[in-house]
Amino acid sequence: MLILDGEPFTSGRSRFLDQNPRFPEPGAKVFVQVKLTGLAGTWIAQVDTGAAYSILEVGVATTLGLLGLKEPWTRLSTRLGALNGQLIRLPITLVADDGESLEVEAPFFVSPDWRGGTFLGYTGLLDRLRIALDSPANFFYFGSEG
Amino acid sequence: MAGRPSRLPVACARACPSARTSNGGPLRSAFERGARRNELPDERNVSYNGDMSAPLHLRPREEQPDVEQQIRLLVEEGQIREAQELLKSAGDQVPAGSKMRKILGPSRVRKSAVKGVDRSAEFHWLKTKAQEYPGKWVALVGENLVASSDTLKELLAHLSELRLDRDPLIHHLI
Repeated sequence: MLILDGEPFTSGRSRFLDQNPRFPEPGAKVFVQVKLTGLAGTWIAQVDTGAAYSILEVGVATTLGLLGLKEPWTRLSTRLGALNGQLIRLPITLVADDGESLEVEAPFFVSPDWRGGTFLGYTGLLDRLRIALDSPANFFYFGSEG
Repeated sequence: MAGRPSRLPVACARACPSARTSNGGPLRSAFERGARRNELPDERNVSYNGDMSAPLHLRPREEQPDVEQQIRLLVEEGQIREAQELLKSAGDQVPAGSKMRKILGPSRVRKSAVKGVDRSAEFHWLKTKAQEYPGKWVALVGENLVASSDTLKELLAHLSELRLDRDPLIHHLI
């Protein structure tokens, strides 16, 4: 889809939603469409390069039976304080409207106390991808290295 | 990413309290007492209510946390990137079947057969109508709200009874 120095840079693109539907803010956000293995439909996750973790919305984690497993405990620092939760390995698919979708199996933070949505964070997920934004057109481009 | 290994000793110190003799245990207290007297913390000034004839030393090697324990401690502290860096540098010190290796090992990326559709219409609904459904789970197909519920479980149950011409976009309006 995107070419860099004569070589394919990304392989898929999708439109993104540029604001939180419930709490619009002056700053733009990037919400993209994802598919979760084991669940029907597609879902919205926020791309956040500033987030160390990827995080799964608690309702989704509950439905997939991912809370309370024997997985390592960890701690997430948030604006509302530290949250305890567990690290799980989860496949998630970035859904392309055009081109190829990509499945990434990455570590996710799950906690019964998390009150936010699903986030695609940097460590272990975005740092494995090539991404680009066409902000005027609200297109999110993505691909894998090689 | 290089440049952050300086934080690793924190986890080591927590895992092995005796290691704090170098940065936070009895020796440090002695140093601080000496410093307060404006004296060097040499042998004459170091006081300790234990047996001073015994040399200060770290615990035997077998009591030091192994690499996997260090990684686990970093994870517990929320230092995921540091844990991944340590795992990467640990080589076969962390067994192939280790839980830590499974969780923190390189993420796998592969092409997927999932075919998406343009969700512009669903996004428009979310921008213009979401305020009317605070806290709800919603399922959208185009600009149509096909289901909404207070819980995801109910929403999915409802969706399973519907015949939709394409996959809905599901979102929690929180």
